[in-house]
Amino acid sequence: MKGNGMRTWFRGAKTLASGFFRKHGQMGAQAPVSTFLISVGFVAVIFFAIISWMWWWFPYHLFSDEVYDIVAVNAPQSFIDYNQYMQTSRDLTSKEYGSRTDLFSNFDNIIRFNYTYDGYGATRFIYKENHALYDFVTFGKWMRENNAYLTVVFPEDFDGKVNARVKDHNLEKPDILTYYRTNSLEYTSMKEDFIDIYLQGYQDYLREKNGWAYANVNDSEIRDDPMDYTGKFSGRNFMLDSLGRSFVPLLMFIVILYAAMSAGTNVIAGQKELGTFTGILMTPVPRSAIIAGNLAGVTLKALIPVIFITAPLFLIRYYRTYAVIPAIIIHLIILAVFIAAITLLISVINDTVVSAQTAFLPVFLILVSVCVTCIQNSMEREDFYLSLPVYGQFYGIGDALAGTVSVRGILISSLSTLLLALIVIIIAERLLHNERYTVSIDPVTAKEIRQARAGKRSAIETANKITDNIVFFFREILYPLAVIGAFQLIAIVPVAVAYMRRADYSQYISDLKDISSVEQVIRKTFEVITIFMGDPLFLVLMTLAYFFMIAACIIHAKRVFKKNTFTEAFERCGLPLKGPGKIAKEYLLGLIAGFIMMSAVCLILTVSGQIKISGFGIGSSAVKLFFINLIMWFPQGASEELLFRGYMIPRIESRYKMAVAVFFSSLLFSVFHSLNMGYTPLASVNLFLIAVLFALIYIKTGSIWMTSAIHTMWNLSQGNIYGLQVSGNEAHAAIINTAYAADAKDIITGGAFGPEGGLAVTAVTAVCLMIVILLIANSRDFTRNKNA
Amino acid sequence: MITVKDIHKSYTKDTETIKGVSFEIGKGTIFGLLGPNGAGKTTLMQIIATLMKPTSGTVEIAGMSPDKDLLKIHKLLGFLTTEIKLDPVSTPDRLFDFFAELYDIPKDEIKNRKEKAFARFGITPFAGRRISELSTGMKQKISIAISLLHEPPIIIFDEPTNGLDILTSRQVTDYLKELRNEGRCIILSTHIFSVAEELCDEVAVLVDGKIVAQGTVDELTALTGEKNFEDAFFKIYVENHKEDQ
Amino acid sequence: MKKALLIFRWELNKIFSNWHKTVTLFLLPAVLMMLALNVFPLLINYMSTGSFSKKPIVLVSAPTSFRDYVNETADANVYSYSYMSYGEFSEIYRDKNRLKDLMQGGTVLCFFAPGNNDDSFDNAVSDYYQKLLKGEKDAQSKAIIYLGFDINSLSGGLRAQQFRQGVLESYQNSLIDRLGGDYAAIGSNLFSTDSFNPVTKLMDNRTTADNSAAKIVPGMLLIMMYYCAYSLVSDMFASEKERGFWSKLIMTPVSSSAIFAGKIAAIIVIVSGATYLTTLLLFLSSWVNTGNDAMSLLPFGMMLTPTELIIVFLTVPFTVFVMTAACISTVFSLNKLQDITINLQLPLVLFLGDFFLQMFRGTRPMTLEYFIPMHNSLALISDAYMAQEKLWHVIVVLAVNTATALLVIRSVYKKEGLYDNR
Repeated sequence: MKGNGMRTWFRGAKTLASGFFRKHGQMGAQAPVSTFLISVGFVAVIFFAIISWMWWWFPYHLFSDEVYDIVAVNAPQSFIDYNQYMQTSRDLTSKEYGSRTDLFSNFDNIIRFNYTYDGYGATRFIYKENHALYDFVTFGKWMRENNAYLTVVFPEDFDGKVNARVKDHNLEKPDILTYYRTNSLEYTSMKEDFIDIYLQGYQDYLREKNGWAYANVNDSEIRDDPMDYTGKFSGRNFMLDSLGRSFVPLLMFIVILYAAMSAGTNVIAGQKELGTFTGILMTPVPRSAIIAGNLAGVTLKALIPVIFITAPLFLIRYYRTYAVIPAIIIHLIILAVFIAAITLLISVINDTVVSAQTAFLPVFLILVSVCVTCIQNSMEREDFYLSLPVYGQFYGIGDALAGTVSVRGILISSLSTLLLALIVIIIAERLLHNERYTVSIDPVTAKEIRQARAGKRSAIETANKITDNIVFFFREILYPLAVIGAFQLIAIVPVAVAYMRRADYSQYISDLKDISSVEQVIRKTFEVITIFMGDPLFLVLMTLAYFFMIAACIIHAKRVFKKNTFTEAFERCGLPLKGPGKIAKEYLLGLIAGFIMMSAVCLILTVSGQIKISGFGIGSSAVKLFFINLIMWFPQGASEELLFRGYMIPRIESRYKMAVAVFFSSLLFSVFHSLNMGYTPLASVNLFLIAVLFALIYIKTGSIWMTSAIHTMWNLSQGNIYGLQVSGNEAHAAIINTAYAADAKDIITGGAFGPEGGLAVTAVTAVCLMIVILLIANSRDFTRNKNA
Repeated sequence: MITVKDIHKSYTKDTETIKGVSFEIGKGTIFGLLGPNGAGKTTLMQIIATLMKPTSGTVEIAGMSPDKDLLKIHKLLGFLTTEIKLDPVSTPDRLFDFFAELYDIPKDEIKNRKEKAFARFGITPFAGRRISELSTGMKQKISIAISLLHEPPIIIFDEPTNGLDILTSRQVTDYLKELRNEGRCIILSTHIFSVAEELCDEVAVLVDGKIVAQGTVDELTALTGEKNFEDAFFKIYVENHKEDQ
Repeated sequence: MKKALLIFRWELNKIFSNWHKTVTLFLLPAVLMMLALNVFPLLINYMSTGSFSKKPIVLVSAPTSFRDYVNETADANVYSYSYMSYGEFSEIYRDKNRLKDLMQGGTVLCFFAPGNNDDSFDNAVSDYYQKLLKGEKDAQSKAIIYLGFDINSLSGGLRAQQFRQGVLESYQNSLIDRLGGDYAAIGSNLFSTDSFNPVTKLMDNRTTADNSAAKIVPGMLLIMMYYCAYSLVSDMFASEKERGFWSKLIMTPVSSSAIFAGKIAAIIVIVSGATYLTTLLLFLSSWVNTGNDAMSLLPFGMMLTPTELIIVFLTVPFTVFVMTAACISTVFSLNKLQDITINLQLPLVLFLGDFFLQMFRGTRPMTLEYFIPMHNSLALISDAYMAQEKLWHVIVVLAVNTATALLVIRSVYKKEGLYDNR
C-alpha cells in the first residue's frame, strides 16, 4: 500500500513537471513584433554605449551654453590691475587655443582629452558694486545679463585688509566669495580652477607688487599609499576577474529570476485563474507531489536559459579552469530550486497571474539588490559570506570563475539554501493543504469560532490592533508637525533670502561660520527668528501661513471626518459657523479672559518684584510693526487651537476615550512648544497644564472660538502689551516696556523662555483650571457636549 | 433587420472557420443558431455583433453597413455571452450607470431604467455590492440587465442559459419571449434543444462553418423524418460533417 | 471626446476605489526604490566594514593639531576615528593577519609621519615655520601624511580619496594658521575663498549629487514607468479581453478610438502621477542623506533648475504613452494570457539592463540614441540631471515617442480587424 502511494506521488509529480515542456517547444511563449523591436532597441543601445566608449573623446563632451565672463563685485584696485596685467598673456592663450566653437581648429586639444577649461583666454571682467555680499539674486541676474559664469565678491576695503594682515600681523583673513551659474555642472570645475589658478596667481601678484615675502610654503605632504598586502591580483587578468565576480553572476541571477517568475507564477496562480486548478486538486495526487512536480518543472525551466548563457563563457580561456563547471552548475541548480520555491509560494498565495507577478516583483528587486551588494572585492568579504544562502551562490560563482573552488563553501551554502527552500516549500504545501488559501473566501475554523465566543482575540488580531494604534498615533503626531513645519518653512524662505540681500546683514551671515555645536545652532536659530519677528514681511507671511494652516487642516478634516461640505467640516473641528452672536460673545469673552489671565501673571511678577516697568508707549517707528503683530496673533491662536484641539481631540476621541484625547493632544502641544529657547522642565509642565485648560474649555463650550481668543489674547498681551517673551520668542513692539529685575528668579519668571517657564503662570493656570473644572462639574450636560 | 451575405472568416491562412454563410432575419423573430462545439457559432455571432470584421462578405444591420454606420448599429445591438465576466471590483450600480452613459441615455431616464431592470431580475438588494461577492447567476442577470439597458431592437445572445440554474434560465427564456412579443429581433446560439424548440421561430444548423439546414423546428424535424428535433439535429450533423477536417 | 472622458473617469475611479491596488501602484514601487537606494549603500557599507554607519579612519600617531581640527570642523565628523600610537601600529604591521583584519573592507589608514623618529608631526611643522621666520629660505619640512588603503578594495580607494579631499587637504591648509606662529600672517594665504558661503556650498553639493543621480535616477524612473504601465495595461486590456468585458465595451456606440484614448489617458495620468511621486521621493532621499558616504548612490543635495525639472516631468507622460502603446500591441497580437504576461515582462528585464548600462557607462548618449523610443527618455532625463539638456533633444525625444506610440496603436487597429470608425 505504501509503495503504491509512493508511486502515485512520483507519477503525479512527474506528470506535472513534464507538463511544463509539453505545450510549446523549448522556450515556450510566442513573441510578438513589439517584443522583438524592443529587444532590437536594447541591442542598439548596447552597441551605442560601446561606440561611445570607443569614441569617448568625441566632441559631445563639450558643453552647450558656454560662457566665460566673470562678474567682479567690489573689485579692489589691485584686482583690476592684476586683470590688466594678465590681459596680454590671456590674449596669447586665447589665440593659441583657437575658437572653442570651431571643433576642427582645436581638434588636437580634443583628442588629447584637453577639453577642460583653457585658462582665461576669452574671459572679460565686468565690474560691479554691491555691499550685500550674500545677495545671490542680484549676482545671478548680473551673470545672466552679462553672459558670465562666475561672480567673485570681494569684501569691502579688500586691499586695506590685506595690507593690515601683512603689516600688522592681523590674523583675520578677508574672505572672497564666489557664486556660479546654476544651469550647468561644468561650471563647478571652472569655478574651482578659477580659485586654484587665477586667484592664486592674484595672490602671488599682490606679494610681488608689494614686495612681500614670496611664500611658497610646503609644510607637509600627503602621500597616497595603496597597500597590497596580499599580492594576489598582480599578474592576473583584472578585468575578466572583476567581470566574473560582478556582471556574470548578476546576469545569471537575473536570468534565473526572470525565467522562474514567468514559469512559476503561471503554474498555480494561472491555473487558479483559468479554473483548472481545482481539477488538479481533485486528482488523487497528494498536495506535496503537486508542489514537488511544479517545483521540478519551474527549476528546470529556469535553468535552461541560464545554461545557454553560461556555455559561451567557457570559450574565454580565463574562465576555463577545471573545477569550475561542476561548481557553477551546482550553484545554479541550488539557486534555481530556491527561486522556484519562492515563486511557487507566491503562486500558491495569489489567485491570478498578474497579482502573483506583482507580488513577485519586490522579491525580484530584493534579490537583485542583494546581488549588487555582493559586487565587491573577494578580499573585502568575510569568509562566512560563502556559507550564506544566495550570497554563497553569488560568491561561489564568482570564485569559481576566478578559478578557486571552496568545497566547504559549496556544501554549506547549498545546504543552507536548500534548507531555506525546503521551509518555503513546506509553507507553500501547508497553505495548499488549508483549503482556505485555494478558495477565495476564507472559511472560519472551529477554533476561531471558539475563541470568538470566549471573547478572545487571536495573536494576529492583537498584533494588527497594536500596529493599527501605533500607526494612528504616529499619523496624528506627524500631521500637525508636518502642517506647521511646512508652512512656517515656506514663510521663512523669502524672508531669509531678503535678509541675504541686505548689505547690513552680510557681516552677520558671515559670522555664522563659527557655529559648530548643536546648542549654538539652536541659539542662533532663535536669534535669527527674533530678528525676523521684527520684520513686517515675516509677520505678514506668517499671518498668511497661519491662514493656510487653517485651510489645510479643514480640507484634511473634511476628508478624515467624511464631511460633505466645508461648513460641516468647520463645525466638526470646533468652529461652528452658525449663530454669529454666540460666536462673537464667546470670542469676546475669550479675549477678556486671556487678558485677565496674562494681567494676573504680570501682577504676580510685579508685586513680587520680579519685573520692573521701565516705561510706556511704543516709538512711532514701531507702530506699524505693532499693528501687524496684532493681526498675526489672531490666525496664530486660531490655527494652533484648530490643530491641537479642534481637529485632534475629536479625531482621537472617535477611537479612544475623551481622557486619552485630552492627554495626548496636551502632551503633543507641550512637547511642540518646548523645543524653544531657554527651555526649563517647568515650561513643559506649564504648557501641558495650559493645554489641558484649553481642552477643557473646548469641551465645555463645544467650540474653539473661546480658546482661540484666549490663546490670541494671551500671546498678544504677553508680547505686545507687557513686552515679555512668548515661548522663547522675544517681542519687538510692546506698549509697556518691562525688564526683569536684577534679582529676578528664573523659577518664577521663566527666564529666557518667558513667563510660561515660570511658577507665576503655573499658579494662574492652576486657578483657572480649578474654575473650569468646577464649572464643568456643575453643569450636567458635560458628558456629551463636545459637538454641540 | 439582419442581413448576412456570404460571410467568410479565416483566422489563419490555411483554415477557414466560416465558409460562406448567408441568411436574413426579420422583426419579431427569434433566430436560433445551432451547432456542435467548434462549428463557428461564436465567431459568426461576433461577426454579426460587429466585434470582428469578416474576411469577405457583408453584414447589414437595419439596412446599415458597419463599415459606415458602426456606432449607429451599436445603438441598435445588444450583445451578450456567458463568456463576459464583469469587472470584479465594481458594483452593479456603477456598472449600469457607466454603460448607460456610454449609450447616451439621459440622467433621469437612467435612474428609471435601472430601477425597472434591477427590480425585474432581483438585483436591487445587491446593487451596492462588489461583483466579486455575487453568485454566478446574479452576475449573469446583471450582465443581461446591462446588455439590454439601451432597449435595443436587435439582441444577440450567445448561449444565454449556459451555466444557469433552471430557475434563472426560466426567467431568461421568459424575458426573451417577452422581448420578441415587443417586436424585437433576437438571434441566439445554443446547443440546448429544449431551449431552441421552445423559443426559436427559425433555426439554422451550423456545421463546420456552413449552414446546412434552415427553417422552423418543425420543418427541420419533418424534413429529416425523425420523431423529435434532437434526433433530427443528429442526422443533419452526421450527414454534413466530414471527419478529415 | 465626451465618451473618452467618461471611460477615462471610469478607469481612474476603478483604480482609486480599490485602495489596495492604488497603494501597490503608487506607493509601493516608489517606496521600494527609495528604500533600495538608501539600503544599498548601507548594505555595501555593512558588507565591507561589518557595521552600518561607521566610515572608519585609523589614525596613527595623530598630532594635537589634527584632533583640534576634527573637533572644530563639522565636515570632519562624518568619519569615525580610531586613534593608535606608532608602537601599536608597527606591531600590527608586522603581523600580516592582523594587518589584514585591520584593513578588512575599506578601512583608511592615516599615518602622520614627522620625518624624524623622535619628533612629533606638529613639532616638525612648526619647526619648519620657525626656520622660515628666521629667514632660512631653504628650510624644508619632512612631515608627511601617509594615506593607506587596500589597493584591491573598491570602497577603500574611494573613501581614501574622499577623506583626502574632504578632510586632509583642508587640514593641511589650516596647518600654517595653527602652527605657523607669527609666520602665519605673512606666509599663509592673504585671503580665503568661500570660507562661509551657503549658496555655493549647496551648488557644490548639487554637482556631486546630480552627477550620480544622472546615472541612477533615469533608469529607475524608466523601470518604474514600465512596471506601472505594464500592470495597468494587463489590467485594463489583457484581463478585460480575457474576461470578455472588452467586447462589451466595443459593442457600445462609442468608437474604439475613444475607448483606446480614454484608457490610455487614464494609464498616462496614473503612471505619470506615480512617477512624479517617485521623483520627488528620490529628491527627498537625497536631501535626507546627510551622511553622504563615498558609496552613496544619491549623495546629499540633488537639485534641478525649474527648466530641468519641467523637462523631466514632461518626458514622463510621453514615455508612458509609448510604453503603453508597446504593451497594448503585445496584448493584441497574442491570444494566451500566459504568453502575453511573459512578453509584457521581458522589456522589464531589458530596462533593468539599460539601468545597469546607464549606471556604469559613464559617457553621454550618442546622438542616434535620442531616436530610440523609450531609451531616449532615459538619455533625456539623464541629460537634464547633468544640466546638458538641449532644446532639440527634447523635441526629438517627445516627437519620436509620440510618433512611435501612434504608429504602434494604428498597427494594432489594423491587425485586430476592428471597424475603424469615429
